Amino acid sequence: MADRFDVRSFLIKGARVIVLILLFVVFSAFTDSFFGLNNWTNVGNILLQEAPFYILLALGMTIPMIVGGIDLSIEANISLSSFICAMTIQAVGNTGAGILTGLAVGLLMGFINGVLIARTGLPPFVATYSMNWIGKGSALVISKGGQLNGFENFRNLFNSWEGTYLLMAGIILVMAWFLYTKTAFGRETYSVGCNAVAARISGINSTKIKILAYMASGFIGAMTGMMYVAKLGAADPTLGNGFTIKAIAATLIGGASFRGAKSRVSNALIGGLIVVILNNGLIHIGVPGVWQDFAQGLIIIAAVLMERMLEKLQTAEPKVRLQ
Amino acid sequence: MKKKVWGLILAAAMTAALMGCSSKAPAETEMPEAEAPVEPTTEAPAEAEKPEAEAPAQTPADTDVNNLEGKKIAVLLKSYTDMFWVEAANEAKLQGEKYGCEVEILAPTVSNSNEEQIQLIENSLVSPPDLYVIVPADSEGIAPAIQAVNDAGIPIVNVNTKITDESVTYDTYVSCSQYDLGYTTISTAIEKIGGEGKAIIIFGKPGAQTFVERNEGAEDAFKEHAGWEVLANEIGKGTRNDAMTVMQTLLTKYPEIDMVYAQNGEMALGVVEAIKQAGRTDEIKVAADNCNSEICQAIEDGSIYMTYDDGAWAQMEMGFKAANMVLGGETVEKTYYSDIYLVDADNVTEYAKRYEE
Repeated sequence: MADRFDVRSFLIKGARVIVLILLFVVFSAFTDSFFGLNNWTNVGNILLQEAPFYILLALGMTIPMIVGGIDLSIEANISLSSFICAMTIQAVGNTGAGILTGLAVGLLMGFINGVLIARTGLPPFVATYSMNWIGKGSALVISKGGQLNGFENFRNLFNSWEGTYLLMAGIILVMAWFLYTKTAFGRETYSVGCNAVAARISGINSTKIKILAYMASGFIGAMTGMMYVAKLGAADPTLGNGFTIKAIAATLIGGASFRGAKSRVSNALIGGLIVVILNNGLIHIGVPGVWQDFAQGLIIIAAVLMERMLEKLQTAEPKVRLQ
Repeated sequence: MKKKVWGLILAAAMTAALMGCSSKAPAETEMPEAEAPVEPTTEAPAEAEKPEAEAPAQTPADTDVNNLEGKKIAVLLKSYTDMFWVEAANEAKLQGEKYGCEVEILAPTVSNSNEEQIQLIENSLVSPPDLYVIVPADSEGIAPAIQAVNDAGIPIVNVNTKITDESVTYDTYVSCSQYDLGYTTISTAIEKIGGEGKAIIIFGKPGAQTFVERNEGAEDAFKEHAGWEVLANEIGKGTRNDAMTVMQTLLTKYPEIDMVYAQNGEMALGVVEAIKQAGRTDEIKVAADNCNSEICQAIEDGSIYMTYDDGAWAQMEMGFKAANMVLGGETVEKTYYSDIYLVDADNVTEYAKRYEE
């Protein structure tokens, strides 16, 4: 009896890891180029070049979801902060100053989101959706529609060692994981996400917690934006377009939920990896490009349906135990 | 909780292990010398041996009469940031100064957004211009907006991307032949590289007529050369980021690639980054369409092999000529074709001067 319970619990908790492993095995089995014991090139490419970006995008979305929110301004943040970073580098000639300015822009956008939501009570969807247009508009105004390129020092900082992107994503991920699962602050954040009113009555400053959650998202967005500029070699005021949807897709696939306090940092890791492996694997298998978006939509629906089934299983647990 | 922790540690260990395994030297920046030039064709695009001959390319008549003076011309473009369209916008403004007319640039904040383009036209109809110069992002999808302009009785000069919905009308269409562009790019590239090889096409955006026709032209050109095999035709969505990601994956899939055809400049630059990073610049030649200063630089350093410029400026200039004729009540041809220009290692230094300001 005890054994059976453990297997089920493992299946529930590890369902997405199993999906990830399954995808990996299927793609490896059906192609020569995806992965082989003597062929790590593609896996290296996935981990070093693709996954860090998706994982950070997903993480930037997951943290607001913990406090029952959403951040639809991620793409504007990515465009604006990275462009201002590039502008600063060109104007001042100092990479560090550029990075700090970029991060400051991201934090500021997150702060405004947080204040609009936690202080003035705007629904997160409305507040961040509006901020998205404001941010995108600002990026276009500042850039006068043009791109910037150059900034070799900045690019070398990220590209001279190929593990930099993964390392950065890893550090941010571990920091977020530690902060939200191992500290009193994390527990407070979850209680705000669970029930903001109850949290406030028990003495938690839910306004502060929410603002910090959006600032964390802003910080991660800015970091991701700058990583993209380093990778692509150009700052484009429309760089982030379409990224919000990618972020939501990765988080949902990873098992996060729009109902507050249901999401975990690990959802971003798993979701990001699944999306990247899916996109990459479909190319290796030779699925035509037009079908790849279709497949991704299908996987999101499957992931959410699986979520529902797992919840049902979970609520059925006590009965099993009683027997 | 313990399991979560273990899961994470395991994941971290896996990633660390994999990181260690794929220790590839960072892309060396040593560029190959561009191969010896075949022929210095600067101004004359090869457009002779195309299978289906289309309507003859003509140039709108140069008239001395200025019918545009004091008029308001609304110019709808595909993007506000893509360098190609920035160049088009700049040329439109120059033309405005030349003819002494007011030029209003309309461009979606999200590049290639059909919805936004429709909205922009609908909004502009509140204080309508005398003529529209329209570049639709979606040849069919733009129809509702064109219908509204037709209803208002305002003439349209359709530039670059053809409006294909037959229920609506426009006065004339100005573009380079997109089919020719794709066909000529590949024919020239093959002529320069040699008789056989393996190629990849990075397709722009499904549904956009320019990319669809360029693709047909390119595919036909490949078919004419039995020694060439198209390994893959993947979508780069017209952006640097998507093209780079797709190319990174394709580079791991195919150990042998001789040529990549990127259907626009932005995608070519993304492709180049991916190739540089994989250290395969020597092996793979990138052929592109469009030109700007960044592309010229890439041709100079050898990372882009060649490009055909379909001259945003040339199309816009011709668009205004046609507009002048339309507003003067002259009879216009249904289609006018503008020229395309080869830019490669031979003439890039000269060509790049265009972008110096």
